[in-house]
Amino acid sequence: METVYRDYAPRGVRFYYVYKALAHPGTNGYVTPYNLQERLQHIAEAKRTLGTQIPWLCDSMDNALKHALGDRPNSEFVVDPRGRIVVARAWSDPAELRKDLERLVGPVDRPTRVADLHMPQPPAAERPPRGIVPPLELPGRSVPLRVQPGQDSEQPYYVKLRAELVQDQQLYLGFYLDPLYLVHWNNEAPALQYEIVSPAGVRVSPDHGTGPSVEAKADVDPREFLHRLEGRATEPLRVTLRYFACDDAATFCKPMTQTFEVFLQTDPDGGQRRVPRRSASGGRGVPSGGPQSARRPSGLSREADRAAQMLQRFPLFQVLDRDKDGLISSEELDGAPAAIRRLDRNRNGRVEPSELRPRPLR
Amino acid sequence: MGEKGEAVKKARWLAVLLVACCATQAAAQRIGTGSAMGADLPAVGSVLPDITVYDQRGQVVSTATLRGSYTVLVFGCLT
Repeated sequence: METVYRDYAPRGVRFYYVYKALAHPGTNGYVTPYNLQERLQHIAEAKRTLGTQIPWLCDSMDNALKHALGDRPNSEFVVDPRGRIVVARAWSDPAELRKDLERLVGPVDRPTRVADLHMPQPPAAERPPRGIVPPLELPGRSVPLRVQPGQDSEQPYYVKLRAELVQDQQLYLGFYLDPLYLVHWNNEAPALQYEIVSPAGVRVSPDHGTGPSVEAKADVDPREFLHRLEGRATEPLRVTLRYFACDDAATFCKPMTQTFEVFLQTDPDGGQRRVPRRSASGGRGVPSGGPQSARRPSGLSREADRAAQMLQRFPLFQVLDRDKDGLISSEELDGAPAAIRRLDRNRNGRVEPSELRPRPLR
Repeated sequence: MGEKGEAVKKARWLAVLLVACCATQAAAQRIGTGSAMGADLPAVGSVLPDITVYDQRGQVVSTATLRGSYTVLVFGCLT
């Protein structure tokens, strides 16, 4: 995309990335922002990590532009000078976009190559480790629930709550540290604690939880819990969380009490969590509320799991399964043409048998 | 109505069903594989809706102002 931008911005074409709700909350630790300011911080982070010069627009907190333009996570549009949409693509494809602009604006003499960009690679920040507390295995499919901060707070929500309805009868609660604030779990301090107050007609059991005891001094893994859920209501559950917010620079470590409201209704912008990989180091922390073990995609049987592992050796599957969860979602199918194009490693314009041969699992 | 008439009637209904199935499948292919919301992409030729968004400094921007030159919009996020 950056090469297309470098060639066509000087020709008067305006480019914008549009920030909208996270497609895969939890990936690289990033969690759903609670306000516009945090969204703008995400944009700054995206510019930093991508090294892009393309300007960004930020969708409203209710994702109005995303909804108006088809609700895809990585769609692409070209709008003509009269404001009419002349290209609408479900999944961004820079090679196709370049062809569109060649047709609409004209070709460029010497197209910029990726190698010409010299984009900076920002050094990864030193952070406390991940993979200490094993991820929670869910017993089946889940859908995201709408969560909002329960109070106006001068203090940021250093911890964000992710809530999901699991198989219509269980409530997943995941407390995620927000990496924007460079904080960690100080495992020498008391573990987090929370209570759930349910509205009339709803019963959650247990109605409280405590974080695991973890040997490592610090980590940034989410603290995950599973509760039994009975009944429904339009009023939200209120979750009150007590934890210590401790920054990486060791300038503060303070007790926090913050509340969240969890609505028992699907959040259409909640995205899909990526399934965590098997924990390499193994952890000793076991959050109360559910077994901790590596999980298979969507609870596949052992045989199906083996078949899925075989499938994952094929480059075609690897490029389609962008989030590496062992499944090809409808969103990933939307991006199939661009994904398959990446298989053309020698860039001769076609995918050859040698580029489709299975590769060893990494 | 005789047996032949019944057969013709059945054949017509089958034809209608077949056309309906094909049309549904064609529509599904046009839409692609759908999305989380099951919404369609806006049609080529339609006007970009007027929506209030923000620039990267948090200043309000109306998409109606994106006129006068070609504009590329690419949705994305950090994940």
